Amino acid sequence: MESKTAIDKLLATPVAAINLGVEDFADNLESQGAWVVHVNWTPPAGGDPEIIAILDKIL
Amino acid sequence: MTGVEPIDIKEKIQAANAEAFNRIVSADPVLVDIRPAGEVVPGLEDRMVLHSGPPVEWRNMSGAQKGAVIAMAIFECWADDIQSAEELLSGGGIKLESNHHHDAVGPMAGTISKSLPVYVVENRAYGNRAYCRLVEDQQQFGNYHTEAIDGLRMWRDVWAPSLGQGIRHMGGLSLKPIIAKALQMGDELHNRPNAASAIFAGAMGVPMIESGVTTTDLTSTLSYISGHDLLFLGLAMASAKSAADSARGIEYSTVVTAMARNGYEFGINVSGLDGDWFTAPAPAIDGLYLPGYGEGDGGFDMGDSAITETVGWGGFALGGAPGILSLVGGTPEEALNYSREMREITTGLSPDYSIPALGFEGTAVGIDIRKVAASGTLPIIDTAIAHKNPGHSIIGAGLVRPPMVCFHNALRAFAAKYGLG
Repeated sequence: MESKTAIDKLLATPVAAINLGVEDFADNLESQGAWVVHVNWTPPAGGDPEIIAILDKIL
Repeated sequence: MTGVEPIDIKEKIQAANAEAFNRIVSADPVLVDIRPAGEVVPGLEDRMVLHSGPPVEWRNMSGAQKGAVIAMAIFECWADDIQSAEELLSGGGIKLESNHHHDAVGPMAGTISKSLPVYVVENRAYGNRAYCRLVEDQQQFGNYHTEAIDGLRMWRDVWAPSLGQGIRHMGGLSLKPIIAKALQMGDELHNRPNAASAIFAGAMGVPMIESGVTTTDLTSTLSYISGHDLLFLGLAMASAKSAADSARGIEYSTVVTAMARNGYEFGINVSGLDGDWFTAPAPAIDGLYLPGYGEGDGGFDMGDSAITETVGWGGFALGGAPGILSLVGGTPEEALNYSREMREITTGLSPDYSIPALGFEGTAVGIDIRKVAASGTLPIIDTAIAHKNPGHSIIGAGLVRPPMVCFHNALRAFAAKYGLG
């Protein structure tokens, strides 16, 4: 099957990852030899839906 | 649909914030006098002590602020000793009010009472005045012992009258040029106002001589001002307060007009929500301690001095003041990043106050509660640390950020006031 081939190919190549948010995940991958780009990201307004709704109207 | 059309309110906020920003950066602070607070601070009554931060009752006051208030009761001769001062305060015999409700600010515990001379700074661009007490390293940290109160007595009886005489003789001293120059000389004007202090001390000698200050008082005052690295902090704070107050009460503005702490709560004021405090428990400070003290000794964040960050100095100008890092901790690169980071949460860059290490770009001015909440980036404040108990002088210094809940609660109040329900 084509999907199985794609997964096989993916797993057979070195891991390259873009990590969003928690930096520990990037550190863990990097310590295992993976190529990682970490993006320092947090949800807007800390994920608070009420504040996000207010900001949507005024920002 | 109820409320205001979204596009309309965004435009209104943008215009209001531009106005708040312009008022802050165009402020023209001039030191016009140094007078006993009871003669000049609006609404300051007998048997009243003003304190830093949002309003707080005696029973909730932090240890250091209690110590400082006790010292003021003894200084004013309302009580003979520590115990009788405590009894007077516990019984409600002394009124306690926030400096910010009286156009005033004070470092650390920030205590001001009627006999204590204050700097009188006039914002000539807007016509308002602001007041700040002296800066020292004992009583304002909660030390109520005789040596600490004696420092206030020297200020009241010798140093403040001598400086005030010189100031009146010279017809006032413009502070904007001193502030601009000091920022180029490695000051951030909060924990490090060393250059500004030296410039100010240098400017005061001749006017005091010309105005006829006696040799004894002149010698004592020159010795005081020439050896006091934090001397200018009181003037930086009064200047900042005069600038920030000019931006109060602009409808629809989301710009912060005060950040203040009393060791119990951290509070902010917002221009378009004038008169309301948005508070949360005061945070702990990440800092360095003087020998003999450690983290377990420190009280929570305290002082009105964050008014300097409110107008773009202090932590916001840390990138230009690497010398302060030996006191508050961190690396020069981190300090530059703090100054860059503050641009994300502010309205614009100062046209007059610049940082050489950042290519002479202006300091970040006009903290916007919307940007703070959206980005998750909180203002950075460099500050000193007081003991958690009364009776001590300074024990350390460090960096701190306000609680995010202050900004979230301000946004909720803004939504309620301006019909965004």
